[in-house]
Amino acid sequence: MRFLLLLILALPAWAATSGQLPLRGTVPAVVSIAISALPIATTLPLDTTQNRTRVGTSTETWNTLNGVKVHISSLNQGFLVHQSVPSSKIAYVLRYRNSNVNLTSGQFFNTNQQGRRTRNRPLRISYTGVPHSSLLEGDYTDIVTLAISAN
Amino acid sequence: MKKLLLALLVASPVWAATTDTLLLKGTVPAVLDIDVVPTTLATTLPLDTTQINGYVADVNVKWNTVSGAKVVITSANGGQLRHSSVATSVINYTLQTPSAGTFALTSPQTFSAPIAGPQNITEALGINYTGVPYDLLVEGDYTDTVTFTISAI
Repeated sequence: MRFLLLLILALPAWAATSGQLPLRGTVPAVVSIAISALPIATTLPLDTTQNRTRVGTSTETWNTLNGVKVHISSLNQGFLVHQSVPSSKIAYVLRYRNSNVNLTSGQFFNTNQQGRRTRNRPLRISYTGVPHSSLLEGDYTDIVTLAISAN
Repeated sequence: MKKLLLALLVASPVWAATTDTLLLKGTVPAVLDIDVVPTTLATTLPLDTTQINGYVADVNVKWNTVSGAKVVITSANGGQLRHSSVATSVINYTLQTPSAGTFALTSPQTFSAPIAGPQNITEALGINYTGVPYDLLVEGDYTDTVTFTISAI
């Protein structure tokens, strides 16, 4: 009887012979956009016609599986507007990814390319020059906004 | 502690912007321009014949200023055609335009147009004087120089 007890005590415990360690890392979605403007963007010669003149570059970075979309909008719906007389304005066309942008209502540009990618997209402007004597003196401005988001 | 801090820094997401803007701007400088185009009559005035709004020039003024422009007109001889060598021999005259009416140039005249540009206006300039028989005038040329100066208001 004593022998049996010793045998039981000597037996190893019923321990597992394998185990699992969960390992996981998460990469968040990264989408970013940065615009670098050229000097001409803020010194536009309004009396000289411009034909797809480069005014800046949009640098877009993403790592998303389904790509990204970029929305482009204009504060003045595609017009350079006088600082104090809004009725005095100059229409212009913005070109992005080889397309004219609809600045009246804004426009999305979609990219299905899977990340990780960085793209430099030129921004170009076109307008018909008007003699200074036919324009009201002052500054004519617009603000174009580019917003990037994951698909 | 340092390791923890480092780990936190490495684990932090990159703060990248998802929106950016492009400012577009062009500047139109002030344009103020005046051009006086004389007619033949301006330098062949028949001094023995009275002139009433004799057509002597077209005055073209341009401006693009927000507050408009003013034109100052001055006469070298105070509104008189003066003999080339006998300064006391003179013929008084006045000028007129459709918008300004008739005015003398005994002193500089200023005409303001507080109208926002762009404007491009041409006005005919007329001269008025009373003709004097030649035998009552000293022989010679009678001249004056009228200067038009435009500036912003």
